[in-house]
Amino acid sequence: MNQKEAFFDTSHVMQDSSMEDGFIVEEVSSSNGMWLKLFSRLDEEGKSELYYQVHGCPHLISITSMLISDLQNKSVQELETQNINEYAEIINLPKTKQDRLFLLEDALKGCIKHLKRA
Amino acid sequence: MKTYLDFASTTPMASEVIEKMHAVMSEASYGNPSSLDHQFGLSANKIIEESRESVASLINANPDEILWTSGATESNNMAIVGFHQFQYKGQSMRFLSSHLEHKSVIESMHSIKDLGSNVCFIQPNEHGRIDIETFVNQMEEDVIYVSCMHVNNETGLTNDIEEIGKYCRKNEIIFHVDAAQSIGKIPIDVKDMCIDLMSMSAHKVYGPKGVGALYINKDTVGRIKSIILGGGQERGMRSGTLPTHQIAGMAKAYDLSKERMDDDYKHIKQCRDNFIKTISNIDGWKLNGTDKDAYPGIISICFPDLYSESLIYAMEDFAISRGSACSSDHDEPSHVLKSMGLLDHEINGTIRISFGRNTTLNEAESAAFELIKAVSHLRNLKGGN
Repeated sequence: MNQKEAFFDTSHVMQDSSMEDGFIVEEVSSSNGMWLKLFSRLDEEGKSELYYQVHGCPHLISITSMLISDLQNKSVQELETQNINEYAEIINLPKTKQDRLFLLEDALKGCIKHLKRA
Repeated sequence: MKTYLDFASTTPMASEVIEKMHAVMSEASYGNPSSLDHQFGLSANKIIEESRESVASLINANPDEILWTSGATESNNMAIVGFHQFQYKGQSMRFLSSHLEHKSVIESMHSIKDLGSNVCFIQPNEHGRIDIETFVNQMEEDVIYVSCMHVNNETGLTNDIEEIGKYCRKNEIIFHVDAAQSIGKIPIDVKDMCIDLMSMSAHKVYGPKGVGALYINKDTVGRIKSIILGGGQERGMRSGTLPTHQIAGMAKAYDLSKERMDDDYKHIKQCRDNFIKTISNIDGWKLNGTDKDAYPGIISICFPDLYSESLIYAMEDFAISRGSACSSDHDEPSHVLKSMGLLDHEINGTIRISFGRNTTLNEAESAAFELIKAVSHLRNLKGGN
C-alpha cells in the first residue's frame, strides 16, 4: 500500500460508534490539534483486532492506516516488536513531521498496555 | 492532469503574451534599452516606452509615472523604503498600514522602523476588510504615509481604496496601494482613487514572472530614493538593465486584461457562484469574510473541524492552496486570518480556491463536488464526528 492508497483506505476506520463495544480505546493528541484514537481487542486465540479514528495531516493519516492494517491478527508480543519507523521511510516523512511518529508510538504503547492487562 | 485553481498565487501566461515575448526575443531588439547610440538599443527602448504607455493606460496614469521593477514585492519595498529614504531628514515619521498586508509591505514597514520612524498597523473590521470607518477610527495623529492593499490575496476582500485615498489626499497623507491582486481584474483609476504610489505585478494577470511596476504620482511624490544602486536607469530610481521581453509581456498582459476585464469578471463570478451553490449542500463550513465586497476569484473557506493540508491532499485532481502561496510552505498560521480573529483550528482548516480566466464552469463545479467528497472522507476518518 502506498501513501495515497493508505490515505484513502477506510477498511480499519471505526466509523460506527455502535461497533465500539468490547474495544479498549486509547486516545492521544498533540499540541497542534491532531489526534488519534486506537480501538483494540484480542480474540479467543489472543490475536489482535484494531481500528482507528484520526484527525490530522495526510502523513499521520497514511501512516496510521498502514500501521493498523499491518497490525491485524497479531499477538501482543508481535505488536510490541512492530517497528514504526519503517513507515516513515515508506512515505518519506519529512523531518519536520517526525512528531507524527511519536503520536502513533504513544497510542500503540498505550494500546498494548491495555491489552496486556485485559 | 490536475485542474489549476490557484490563480491568486500565479496565473499561466496568456498565449498572446508568450507570442509577444517570443517575437521580442526573436527581433533585433536585443540591445540594451539604455544604449541609445545604435539601432538595437533604440529598438528595445521603443518597446519599453510603448509598454510603459500600455501599463499607464490601464490605470489612467501618465507613462512617465510608471517605473519598471522585478515584481510587486520589489515595488512594495521601493514604495515604502525608497519613499522613506528620500524623505527622511533625521526626524522620525509616522507610517500606517494594516495587519492584512502582504509580507513585503509588513517587512518593509519593519525596516523603516529600524531606521527610526514609527509604524502602526490597524485591524480590519469583523469581516476582514478595511472600510473608511475602520480606517478613520484607527487613524493616528501625524501619520504622513498610509499603505493599504486593494484586494487581499488570501480572502479576496476588497478594501475601500477610493474612500481611503480621498481621506488621505484631503489630509495631505501619501497613499500607497498594493494592487498585485487587483490590477487588470477590477478597474483602477489612480486619479479618481487619489493614489500616490501603487505596486503592480505581471504574473497575477497572465503575464510573465519577474517583472512588475511601481506607479509614482509625479505631482504628489515625484521621486523616491533608489534601493538598488548601479547605472541609474529609470530616471535614477531603479538601477539595472531592463528586461525588454518581460516588459513587453507585461504590457501585452495588461492590454488583454483591459479588453477582457468585464467578461473575465462576469465569468469568474459565475464560477464562484456555481462553486458556492454546490458546496452549500454540506454543513460545517464558513466563508472567511463576506461575499459582499469580495473579488469573486478568491474564495477562502474554513472547515473548523478538518485539517486543510488533508483536504488539499484528498482533492488530488485539483491544485488549490492552504493560504497564500508566499507563506504556505512554513507552518506559521496566516497573519491575515489571525488578524480577522480566526482561531488556530479555524486557520488550520482553511483552504483557498482561486479561479481565473481559464477556469471552466464545469471545473468549478467539479472542484466543489470533489471538496464535498474530501470533507466526507475526512469526517469519516474522525468517526463521523
